[in-house]
Amino acid sequence: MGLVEKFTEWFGEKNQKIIDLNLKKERKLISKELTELEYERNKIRDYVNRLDALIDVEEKFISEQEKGGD
Amino acid sequence: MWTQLEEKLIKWESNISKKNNSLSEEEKQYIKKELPLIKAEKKQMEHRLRKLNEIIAKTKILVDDLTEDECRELSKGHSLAEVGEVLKEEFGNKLEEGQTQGRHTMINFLRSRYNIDKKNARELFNLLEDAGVVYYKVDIPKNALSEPIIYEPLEADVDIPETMYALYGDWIINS
Repeated sequence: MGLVEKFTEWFGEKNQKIIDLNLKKERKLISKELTELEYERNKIRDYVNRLDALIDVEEKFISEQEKGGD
Repeated sequence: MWTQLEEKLIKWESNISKKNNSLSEEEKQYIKKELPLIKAEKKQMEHRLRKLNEIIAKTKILVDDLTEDECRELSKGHSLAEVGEVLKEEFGNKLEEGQTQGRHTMINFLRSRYNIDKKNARELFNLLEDAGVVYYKVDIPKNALSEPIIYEPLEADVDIPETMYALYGDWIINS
């Protein structure tokens, strides 16, 4: 299974779990889910920041290459 | 899932670190081909980030609603805001008592104010703490920040000596 499918499945399961816990009025368990979601969100935010840094370096590299080629 | 993502990113980052050295023509072409892939990955991850923020916002609302329902149940019909106000009327904005003593004082007050049993009063207090209506604000002296906090087990049947705690504070009532 690819990463996109894995995330889609994970997201769907989380969503369903939260709906079920809410129906059962499980406040503490939903709070725990919230903490886990925030942890995942922080990891993705960090990942995006690292991708941004890579893009900056690559773009700078390519533009320097192009200037050198002129 | 994260292991695979991390591996992918580490591979890209290690390619970037090579660029400080002189690169062959083949490697330069590879880097040019790599950029659109990284941009596509970023777009995908930003999409996930937005969806995660949506589900987090929804979950927060559900938690708030359940907290409110539980508060009404435990206090026989009073909202979090009302219970917070009642605590504030009784103790003011802060209760200058230790962590354990202050907790007991407020639990006992809730118990008699709402005519509820001790278990429910404790649960109500925990709920108020979870919702941030009351919290213990620790005052940390500057010189204590670099010092380790040492844990010493208690002997049975011995009162807890106050000198065991290096940090002091007050209970804040934030209604």
